[in-house]
Amino acid sequence: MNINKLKFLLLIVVLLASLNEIKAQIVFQTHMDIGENNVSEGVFLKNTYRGSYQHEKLNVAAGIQFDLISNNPNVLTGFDVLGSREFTIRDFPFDLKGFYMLNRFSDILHETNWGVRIETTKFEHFLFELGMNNKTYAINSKARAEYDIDKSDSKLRENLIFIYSISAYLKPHNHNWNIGLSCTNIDYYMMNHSTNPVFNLQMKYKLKSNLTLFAETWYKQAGMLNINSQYFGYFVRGGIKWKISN
Amino acid sequence: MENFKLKIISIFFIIALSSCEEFEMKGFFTTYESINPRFEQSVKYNNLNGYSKIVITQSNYTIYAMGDSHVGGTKNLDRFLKDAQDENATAVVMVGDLTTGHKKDYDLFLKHLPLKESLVYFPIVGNHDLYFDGWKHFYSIFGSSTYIFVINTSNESDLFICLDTGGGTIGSKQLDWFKNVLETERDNYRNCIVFTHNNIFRLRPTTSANPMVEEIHVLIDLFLRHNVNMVVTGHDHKRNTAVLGNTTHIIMDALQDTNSRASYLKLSINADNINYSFVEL
Repeated sequence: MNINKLKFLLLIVVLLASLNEIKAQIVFQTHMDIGENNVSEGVFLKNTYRGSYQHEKLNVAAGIQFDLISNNPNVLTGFDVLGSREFTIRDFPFDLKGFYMLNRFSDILHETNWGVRIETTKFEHFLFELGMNNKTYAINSKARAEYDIDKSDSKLRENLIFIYSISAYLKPHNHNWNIGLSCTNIDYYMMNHSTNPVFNLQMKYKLKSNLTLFAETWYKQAGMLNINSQYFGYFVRGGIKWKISN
Repeated sequence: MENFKLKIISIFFIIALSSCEEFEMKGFFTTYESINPRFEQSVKYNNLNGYSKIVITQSNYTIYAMGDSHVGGTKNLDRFLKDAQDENATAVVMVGDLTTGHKKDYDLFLKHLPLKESLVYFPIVGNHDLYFDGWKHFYSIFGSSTYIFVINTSNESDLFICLDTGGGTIGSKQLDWFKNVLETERDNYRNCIVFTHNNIFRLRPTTSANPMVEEIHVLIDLFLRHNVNMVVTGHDHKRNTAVLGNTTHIIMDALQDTNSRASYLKLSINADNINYSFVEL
């Protein structure tokens, strides 16, 4: 991790601490993913921890992902930070989010994503999220030396990727329980190309005012709605969201 | 209102399950033959027929490659094949979307191919070749779409790996095979070039699909670990090149007659380098 990234992280930590002092809302979330796909070489099991701090219209969130069972030699496989602010233009509320995500999918390569997206819950039974993502694949410095790779050939940046998440829910957003269906190309630690939509069925249940259980099933079809489409993989997610302070 | 909704849903399903000459909407949701069964048939073919080994006496040679001819039209295909023959190409690789998937187009494509004795060619299936149950025609005409071939020069050997990604994914069984080839064979050869239909990276704004990002992760890890020199693909219809590590990724233009910027790829392989150039038609 270079100095700039370290400074960035430090800034976030300071920001989070200061928000805590001014009676911020703190939310902690953890979930497990279990599934398989065409390239996973069997079942994978991943565990994610996320925290978010909300103060008035500002929100900062960060998370990490661990691979407990997978073909990835790394254990810490994902890290992300996300900052957002709520806006309202002519009765149209939306969140403007900026994000950075690191995916350590191999011990010799990694992927970074950063971008912006806009989310609106204007419609009671729908959630729309649209944005752009900048994806770069990079070879780790150790692998550069091992495979004798020039630094100029160690990164490949793809063209800007349109990202989206379109969800429809049975109940309004703030209801005690809900079921929804999403079509998206983004997840916490996976940003697909816009031509690879993934479907997920979601359920949530508020156990207490500050405790919510959630479950999701994700189905992935390669080339869906685009080419000669066929099964790629699936996973199931189960987790808990805890509002620590109000 | 209910009637209106019903009409909209009906229209959607009619479109989804219908087809036109060029592509089949049904293929957007499902396939006739998925990758694992196709791969198993390819392996069966390979076991019966073996892999090609081309022996040449000189140390330099050329490979001609093209993709996305989408026959129907054969003007550019004929030019490509003629150039390859005239310039004594050691082999020709055709990376998919050779036809529209219709039997009549497979028959037309076959009619335009020269005899194997006069030009060695290696076809790979693309997504369009799979429409209209096209895999049956591909398999009956060409056989395997997952295989290797080897070119032995006067003092070196090069390995060429052809993969079936016509369905947008390499599939679990073909991936195991690919890994095994790289682990057991790669070190025995000077160069290793991979040919497949789907382009790995998204290098321009486009509506054509890449593999799922999880699959890209696995593939680029293998390319780096096993020093794959070059990955040649089509699918996106517009040429692009990129380098990651020691691997040069090439996306070819569509050879299709209706493409105003149609071209094919010429690989010149010598003792020190693999040089490439696009030949415009």
